[in-house]
Amino acid sequence: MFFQKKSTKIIATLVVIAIVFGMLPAVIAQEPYISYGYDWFFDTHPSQSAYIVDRVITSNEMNLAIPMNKPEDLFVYEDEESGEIIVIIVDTGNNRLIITDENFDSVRIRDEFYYSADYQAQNFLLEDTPEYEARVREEFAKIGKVSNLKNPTGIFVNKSDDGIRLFIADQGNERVIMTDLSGGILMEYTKPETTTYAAESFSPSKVLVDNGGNVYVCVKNITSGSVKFSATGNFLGFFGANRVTRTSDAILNYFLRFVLTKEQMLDRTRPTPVEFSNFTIDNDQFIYTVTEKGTTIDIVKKISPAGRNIFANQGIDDSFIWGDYNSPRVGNKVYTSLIIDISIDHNGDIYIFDRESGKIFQYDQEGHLMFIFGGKGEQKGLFVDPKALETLNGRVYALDATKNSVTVFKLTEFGGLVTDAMAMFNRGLYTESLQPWEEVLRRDANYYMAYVGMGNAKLSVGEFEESLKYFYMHSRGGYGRAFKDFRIDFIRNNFDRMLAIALIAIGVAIAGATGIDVLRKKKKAKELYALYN
Amino acid sequence: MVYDLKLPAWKWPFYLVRHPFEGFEDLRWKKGYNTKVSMVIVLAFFVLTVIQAQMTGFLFNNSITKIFNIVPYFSSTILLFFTWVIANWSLCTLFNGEGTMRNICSTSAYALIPYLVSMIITTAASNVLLRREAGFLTFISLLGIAWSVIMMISGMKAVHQYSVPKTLVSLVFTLVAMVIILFILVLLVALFQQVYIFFYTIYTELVYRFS
Repeated sequence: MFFQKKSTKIIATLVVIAIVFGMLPAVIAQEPYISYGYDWFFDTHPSQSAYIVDRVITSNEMNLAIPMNKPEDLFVYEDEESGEIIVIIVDTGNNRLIITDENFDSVRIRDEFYYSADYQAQNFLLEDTPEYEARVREEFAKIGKVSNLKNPTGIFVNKSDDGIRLFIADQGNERVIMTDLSGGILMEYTKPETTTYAAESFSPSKVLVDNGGNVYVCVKNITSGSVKFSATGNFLGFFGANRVTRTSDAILNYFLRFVLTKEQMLDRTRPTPVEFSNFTIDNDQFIYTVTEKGTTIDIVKKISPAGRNIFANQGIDDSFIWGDYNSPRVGNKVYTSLIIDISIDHNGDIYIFDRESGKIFQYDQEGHLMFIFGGKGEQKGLFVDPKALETLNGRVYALDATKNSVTVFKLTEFGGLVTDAMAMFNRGLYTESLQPWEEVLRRDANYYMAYVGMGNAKLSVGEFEESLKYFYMHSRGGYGRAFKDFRIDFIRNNFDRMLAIALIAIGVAIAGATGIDVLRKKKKAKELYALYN
Repeated sequence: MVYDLKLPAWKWPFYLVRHPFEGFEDLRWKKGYNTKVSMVIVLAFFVLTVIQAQMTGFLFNNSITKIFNIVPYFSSTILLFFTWVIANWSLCTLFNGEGTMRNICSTSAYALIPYLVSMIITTAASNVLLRREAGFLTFISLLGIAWSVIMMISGMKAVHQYSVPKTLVSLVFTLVAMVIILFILVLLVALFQQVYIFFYTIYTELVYRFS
């Protein structure tokens, strides 16, 4: 008998089992992307993942008879009655909407639209002329008729008193329609018939609605901003145009025109503002726009009701870099971030979707980088052709037009911790956020914002030296504030000593100077004496 | 002019700081040029530049302190200084300048003193000042630079026995000459690199053939 006791045998068996299992490749649900952050010198350092893929929804999973074809936009909202999360996908290639709940079980396809009995003609501002009457009659004759979508590219859902209203940017038909959930068109917003709107075409790509019922339409090739309609369909003007690039650039372009070819000139930034490609609205009714290319300023901007970029007031100036700091170089091509969509969550955090790298960048409302996740590729959690981004309750929904899928990301424990700490931090609850930040630092000692948060927390309880340690190489503004208090504190505590040292120093200096003077005079006298004797 | 001026070599630079105009004439008259002292000043220039980059307070420090590379500091101080001296000498000997290489070197080094002092003060003060008090630092460093420039002009005027306009023109052309020297230097380095690679390739080729 090789083993003497039965217990030894059992232990040996267990050890063998443990070894065998240890040798098996460990099954770890790991993301295909590397989460990282930046340090003070803009060098990357790896970080824990804040988001992992919850699920990826494809046409197959939704049991669609006709699979999705190049979807362009999606919208996510919470149904107030059932509390369900509703996802609406604009299936551009098939000219339809896919309305589904979050679990993607009950899928409704809306591919037929008709003019509802409540259809209201757009207010054309042609008062009491025969033309106007004819026009109105023509409009109301549409009621009951079918009018399907053609190349729809944008959607927005507005919860009004009358119920859910969908706003669809119907690009092929040159209109934006307001419908109810059953597909009845209630209002059409078409090309404004005023001289202010100078363009020939009206191809709306994205749409959004504010609390007052004003409709903002992002129109392709219109550089003066989004086209703004009132709830009744009046054209109110343009809103939120990008600024023109710097004057120095314009002057440089003037001279370069003599040297460069036409094609080369087209590649340069133009002196006319570039139209923004996408926009969104937050809970406080601020509109955010993103501009995909052709500009170095206003890539992401937050517009005040007056149409100004108010990020500048928050310390996010023109030199602020959205997306990756260092453009990665692959082969001969340099990848610079092209921001295609933006979404704001309930905390006011800003999410931007980079078409070039497929990455999603999350910033807090002050522009502090929180997380980077996603990437380019075929695996789950990566994207081939990023199109649209939506956020709701800590989840991120990202649409890919080539993979024809919606990827749903959910927060990890680490991500949740940071998000909570960050929310407290931004509400100014520095002391309360001390605990969460400490926990964050325990999990990721490289997490940048945790140091800023800790510094603020320590400063708010009056531990200046600790605060300075946390702010060092993390926040110049914070360091300055902490140092100011530290300096006053230091002088107050050591004033007597400093005064004594200063007095002694002055005394020594005077005595020394007098002594040297006396010595010098003596030496000179000696020299003179030697000279004359 | 002070005729009974008897100063040890190390005291001359400080005398010049206090007498930036007639001081250099005294220096020339008394032959106070000293290479050892000027080398110490150039070395101090180098060391202080490194110290300034490393020890300026966090609120004012824009240099990359994460990694330390001495080459840029060396080339922006010592290399630049000697390029200046060589360029000035080679230009001014052609235009009736009376300065020798040694004298130009000493004069230029002595003229750096106010700038070095301003560097020490700003580096120390940056550790106790706030961002909003940055005006003090700018003022001190500008004062130091202006003083040094004035000393440099007056020193060059004295060492070459030029008139003021001629001095200014010579300084401008010295800068041009410096650019040319550095350009040729870069070319030379690139060329020698090519030659080195050529011989190294032959060497590796032979090693492969015979091993």
